Amino acid sequence: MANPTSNFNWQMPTNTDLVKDLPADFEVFGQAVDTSLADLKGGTSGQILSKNSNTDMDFVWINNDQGDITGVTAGTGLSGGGTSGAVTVSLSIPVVETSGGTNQTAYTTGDLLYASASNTLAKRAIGTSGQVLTVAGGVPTWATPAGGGKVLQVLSTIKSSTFTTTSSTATDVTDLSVTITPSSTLSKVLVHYNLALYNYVGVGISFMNLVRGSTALSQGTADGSRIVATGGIDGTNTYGPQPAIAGNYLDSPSTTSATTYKIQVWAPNGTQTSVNRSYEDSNQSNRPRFASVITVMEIGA
Amino acid sequence: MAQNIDLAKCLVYLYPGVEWALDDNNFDTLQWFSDLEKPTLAELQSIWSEVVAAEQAKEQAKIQAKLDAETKLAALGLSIDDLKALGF
Repeated sequence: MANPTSNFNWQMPTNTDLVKDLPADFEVFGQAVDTSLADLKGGTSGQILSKNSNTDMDFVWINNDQGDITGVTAGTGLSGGGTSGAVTVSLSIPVVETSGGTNQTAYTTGDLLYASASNTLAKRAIGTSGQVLTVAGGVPTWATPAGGGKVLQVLSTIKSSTFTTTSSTATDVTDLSVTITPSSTLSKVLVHYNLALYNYVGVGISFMNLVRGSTALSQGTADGSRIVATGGIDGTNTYGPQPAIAGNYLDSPSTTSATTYKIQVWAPNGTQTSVNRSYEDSNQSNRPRFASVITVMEIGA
Repeated sequence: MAQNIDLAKCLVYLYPGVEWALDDNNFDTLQWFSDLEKPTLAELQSIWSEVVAAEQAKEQAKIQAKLDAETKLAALGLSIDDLKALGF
């Protein structure tokens, strides 16, 4: 009968042949145990046993650092770290663009992020209702949509009362003005005017200017002593009707501020200039009274 | 407010060569561009009849001048139609 073996294949003495074979069996058993436990020998303080292969009792002593974090180093965009104890790592705020962040710390509702320069993000606040995103100066910006040549608004003033002056310099015609607020700096303003202007026969000449703010528009080129104006009349009819001065001018005010267009009149020699009435203007059925008009139209760019 | 008199005519009559501006024949709108003292409405109203008379005299003088010219033409054996035929 063969000797029994343990789970480690150590051959153990048999209880039926203790007297005859005991010393030899113990030798075999002891050597087997010694061989099996050989890997447990050695090692240094703090080391731990680690399986060296899938073979039973095949171990090796190794340092006790397997699977442990031995140190934390804060990289770009982080701060803190350490090699012992509780380690804290914090995010550096704001996270810069080149580290995948936005370099921003706060936002308002509607803000948009855009690159204002290479590796630089900026916020663009929300526009106003109806505006669209467009490009200006190479970056996105909010703007009122262009009308594309359409008439965006029309305003008009009609003056039916009379106006008279003997001024020799350009003088505003009372209540013959119109104020428009363009919706875009790119818009143009088309101005129409119709002016019933009078002086009297043989003596008077009168002139008119179309004016934006304080700037005379549609002017001839200055040349010596000649008068520069938008239009003018030679007194041809003291009593009855005569042709009105009518014209138009396409202006580019380049503003979104309220802008006033008006008519000024004068007679260089200080004679009587009249608007909407003849010079004579007596109460007779053949004496005219007219109206003058100024109309502005905003034309989308 | 429009008034019955033509304030512009009164101003031209009283202040020849003086610069001013008037809207809607309303004295309250009178802009006075002269160093002379600005007239009052009463002053202008008081001169209105004189202005009308002066205008009428002026018109009458024009009518009389026309009549005188026609008389002179007739003395020469000519008429207005003769002048028109000559291109005048």
